[in-house]
Order: sequence, then structure tokens, then C-alpha cells
Amino acid sequence: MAGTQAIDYTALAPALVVAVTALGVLVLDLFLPAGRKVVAAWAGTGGLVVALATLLPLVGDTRRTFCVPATNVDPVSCSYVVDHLTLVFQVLVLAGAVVVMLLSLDTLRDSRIPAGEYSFLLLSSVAGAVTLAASRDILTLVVALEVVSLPAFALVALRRFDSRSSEAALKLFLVSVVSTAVMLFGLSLVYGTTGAVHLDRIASALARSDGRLPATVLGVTLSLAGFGFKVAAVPFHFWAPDTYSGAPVPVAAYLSVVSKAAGFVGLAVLLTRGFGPYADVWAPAVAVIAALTMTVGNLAALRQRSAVRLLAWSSIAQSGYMLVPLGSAAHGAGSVDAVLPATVAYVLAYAVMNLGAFSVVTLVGRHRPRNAIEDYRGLGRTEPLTAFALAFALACLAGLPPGLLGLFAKVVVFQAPVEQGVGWLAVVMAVNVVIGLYYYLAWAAALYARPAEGARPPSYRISWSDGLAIGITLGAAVWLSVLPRMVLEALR
Amino acid sequence: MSVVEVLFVLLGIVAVGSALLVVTTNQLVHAALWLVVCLGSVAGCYLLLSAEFVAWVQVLIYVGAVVVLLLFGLMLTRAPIGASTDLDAGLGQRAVAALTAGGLAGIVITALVDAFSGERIDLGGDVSTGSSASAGSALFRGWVLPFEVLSLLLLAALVGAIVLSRRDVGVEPEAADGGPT
Repeated sequence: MAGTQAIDYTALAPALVVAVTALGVLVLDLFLPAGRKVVAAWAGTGGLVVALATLLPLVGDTRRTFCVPATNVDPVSCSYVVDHLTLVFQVLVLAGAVVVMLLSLDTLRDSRIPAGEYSFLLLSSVAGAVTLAASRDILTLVVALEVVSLPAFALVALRRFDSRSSEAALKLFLVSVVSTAVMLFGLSLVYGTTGAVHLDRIASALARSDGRLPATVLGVTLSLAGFGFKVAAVPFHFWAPDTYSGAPVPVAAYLSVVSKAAGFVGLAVLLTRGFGPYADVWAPAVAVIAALTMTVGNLAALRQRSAVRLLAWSSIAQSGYMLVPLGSAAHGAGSVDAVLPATVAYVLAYAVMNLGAFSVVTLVGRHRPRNAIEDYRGLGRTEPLTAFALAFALACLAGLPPGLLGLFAKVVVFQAPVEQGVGWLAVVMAVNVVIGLYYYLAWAAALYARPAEGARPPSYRISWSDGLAIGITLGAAVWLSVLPRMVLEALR
Repeated sequence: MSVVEVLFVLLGIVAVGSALLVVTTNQLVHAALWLVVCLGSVAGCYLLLSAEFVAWVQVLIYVGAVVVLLLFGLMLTRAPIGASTDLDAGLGQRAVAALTAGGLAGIVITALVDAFSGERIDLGGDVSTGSSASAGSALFRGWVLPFEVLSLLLLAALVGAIVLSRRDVGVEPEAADGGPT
């Protein structure tokens, strides 16, 4: 190990700004009078916007820091790399977190949830997600993944007046701990057989080894578990529906978009940059997980009556679509790099459309805590703009015009198994998209249906923070439906 | 076999035996104490492999902190500390658990033996890689990033635990049904 190393603070800035804001919010909270605690959440939102701005100098450049010197077989390897993939996910994570914070402002003002601690925990988790996107060695990757998860347990449990909340947090905690333990065991096996922790060195060690060592195969397979939990893939999905419905709705939105995106970037980086040479081992496993995840998620979503639970199961199904490109890698050289853009494109599109749906669901849930699908009947008559935002997000999730964003993203994902020759996966996906149409459209139709006899049609005064969140997500969804190249070619 | 190898095998037997006792005893406090024996003998294994720093961290953190935390948890929550039969699962569940554990152990042992059966660790040569000095300089030179990220994790865990035990956030707010329109 060489002596001192220069640290590239420009590359680290986004993560640093978020972490420092988190600490600042915690201190600020001490000095705020009891009725003004929500100011801490404002400060947190501001910090996230500043962090977004610090991404600007990094565009179009690849920066590396925390490097180890070259050895006689390996070149210089770095732990923290800001490249195009990193930037795309950091923008997603930070922008998603801004929307979640906007949605949280009214929740924090109206409930007993402590605003300072809430903002601190959320920002710590975001700092973990920002670091995760840039991590290029397994130690940083695991630590960052835990930083994303751990504050989420506390966030989910914050509605302590509701017993469902504690149950939700406990479920999330147990599944997380078990899957992390399994993943650590797998990664330690990989380290044992390759002797490397940097992903590029693991890749070159795996490429050098001839044949398939059973211990490495086991390690690679077990490593999938931790990320499988994070993205709520079957069979690690049990926590999702209960956790989403027990948590405050903005936290559910956070788990389903920001935390899931973090899981996907970790998985994508680990599989493509680290385990690339073993693609023929993990790709079939990922393909089976993808098929199961789509099918289980969609079939369960068909039977849901509650809006949040429906979105929970639908987000499980959507995870399945995102895994499809990764699952179809391995058939042919260079296919690992060929499928990555499709997954990234779908994660981006999903984030926009799911946040759009969650924004409206948060708003309705604020007035109708039961948040059942029936509560949305007739929303289109009294709140045309809000209803349109939700209907558009649902059309995107279903992949139907006018939701072109979802349609294009699905086509890109669909191309991957077709081009790589994994026909069965393409068929499973096509069937699932059709199943998904039913429940998304049923919900969208309820928005414009005649309200039930005697029921008061929902009508709300929308606060400007909610309005801004709905506006941002709707604007992004419409804009990206018109100009989908930004998402579809994010990596090209 | 050299002295080190004999000691290693003995410590290994103690570790596996006490680990089995941890999961089979129906006295919760005994289980915690067997865990001390198990973790302690693993620390001994590390010491034999000249991983001095890891061995003492194992003693400090696992034996010292984790088990004591467990015992404190038992005492402070007034959990039953005598023999309790409700810790035993039904026969069917035991069979499934034994099958899963046995199968997993079989796979893992096969894979490990296949990968590392011929490997030798030379303990006579340079043993400085396991010392506190080399661990410390590796941590603060090469691995300062995950180290700092971990500090954020610990702070978040601390704040999370405090906020969840605060009494004033557990109050039912005014019935929000219907809500302001």
C-alpha cells in the first residue's frame, strides 16, 4: 500500500453534501421550537438539491479515487468511480429523494413523526445510495448497501401509534438481516477464491481461472441474495407488501423507488463489472428469478383492494421486468455490456412513473387513511389534474399509450431476451405485461367512474409541496414520453 | 501434525460442539454462554492463523459486546430465563430445519474442500499481515472510504434506536379519518 493518497473531493461531493446535510439537519433540529420542526425537513430538501447541483461538474468525465497501486498482474484499481452509469443513478437517487422529501413535508407537519430524525434517517439512506452507485469494490458495496437499508428500518417503524408499522419494520429487518448474511457469505467465498476485493480485479481473476470452481459458483449465486432482497425479487419479496402498507406512504415511495434503484445499481455493477466472466452461471439464475418475480407480483396484484398494497405488488412485478435484461446475458461475447443499458433504462422509467403514482396515492392517503381503490372512484370529476397525473402514471406502468414512456421502456427490455436468444423469458414477460394491463387499467377506470351512491366524491385542497411533487413527476413522465431517447439511451 | 495443527483441530471441535449446544439447549441464558465458548474458540483459531488483530476484535466485540448485550436484553425485558419448552419447534419443523441445514452444510463443505483442500498457509514466514499495525494502516490508508461510510451507518443506527424508543412520538394523533377537505 502506498503512502498517502490524494482524494478527489469533486467526485465525492454529492455523497459528502448529503451526509453533511444529514448531520446539519440533526443539529438544526435541536434549535427549532416544537412547532417549527418541519423546517429541518426543508433544510434536508435543500441539501438534496445542492447535491444534485454538485453532479454538474462531473458530467462527461470519469473520475476515480481511493485507488490501490498496480500489481504485476492488475492495473490500478479504484474503490470509488464516477462514470456515466454512476451519474445516471446518482441523478435518479437524488431527484427521487427530493420528490420523497416534498411528499413528506405535509405528513411531517400533520403527524407526530419527529421531522428532524425523519430527515436525518432519510438523508443517511440517500447518502448510502449515492455512494453505492459509485462503489467499485465489494467492501464499499456491502457497507453502502447497509447504509441504505438500516435507516429504512427506523423510518418504517416511525408511525409507532400504528401496530402495523412495528410489524412492517420487524419483517423488513429480519428479511434484510438474513439476506445480508447470505450475501456476505457468498462474497467471502468469492474473495477466498479470487483473492481480490476490487470488482475489476475479481473480473480479471475469474477470467484467468479455467473451468468453473464450485466454490466460486456458490459464492456468486449466494451474492445475489442480498440484492434480491433490496429489489424485492421473489423469493425475497415477502417484506414488501406489509412493509409498504405499514410505513408512512412517502417512506413506501422511497423504498419502492430510491432504495430499489440503489439495489439495482449495486446488482448491475456487481454482476457486470465483477462477475462478468461468470455470466453463464448467474444469468440463468437471474432469468428464473425474473420470471418468478413478474408472475408472482402480477398475480398477487390482481387481488389487491388497497392502493399501497397494489403498488407494492406491482413494484415487485416491475422488478421482474428490470431483471429480464440481466437474465438474458451470457449468450455470446460482450452480451453483458449489451444488456446493461436496457436494465438502466427501465429502472429510470420505472422511477419516474412509480413516483408519479405514489405522489397521488400519498395525497389521497392523507385524507383517506384506508387508501382503498374505491376511495379513488370519481376522482376524475372533482380533481381532474390529480386524477390525470395518476391515470398517466398508471398508463405508463401498464405500458399503454398515452403512457409512451412505459411502452418504450418495455420494448427496450423485451428486445434483450429476443436478441440474446432467451425466448422463454420473452414469452413470460409478454404474458405478464398483459396481466398487468388488467389491474392498472381497472384502477385508472375507477378514477373516471361515477362515484358510488351517496358517497362524497373526493375533493382536496392540495398543498403546494404535494402539488410540486405531483407536477415534477407528471412533467417528467410526459416529457420523457415525448422524448424517450433521454432515458432509453441514458448509457449510450 | 504440528502443535498448531493439533490445537486448531481441538479448537475447531470445541467451536462446532458449542455451536450445536447453542441451538439445541432450551435454556436461553445457557445458549448465550455457549455462544461465548463458540466465539472464543473461533478467536483462538484466528490467533493460531496469526491474525492477531482479528482475534482480539473477535474477543472484544463478539464475546465482550454482543453476548453481554444479549444477556442485558434478556434481563431487562424480563424474558423467561429458566428452561423453556416453547423454544422447541414441532417435529415437522425440526425435520425441515435439519434437512435444510444439513443440505446447506453439505454443499458448502464440498465446495470449500474442493477449492481449498490443498492450500497451505505458511505460518513460519512473515506474519506481520495480521498485526494491529498493518490492519490499522490498511484501514486508514486504503479503506478509509468504507470506514467513514460505516461511521454514518453507526450514527444512523444510534439515532434510529433513540427515535424508536422515544415516548412522545408514540401517541395516537387526532383521528385523521375524513380529514380536512
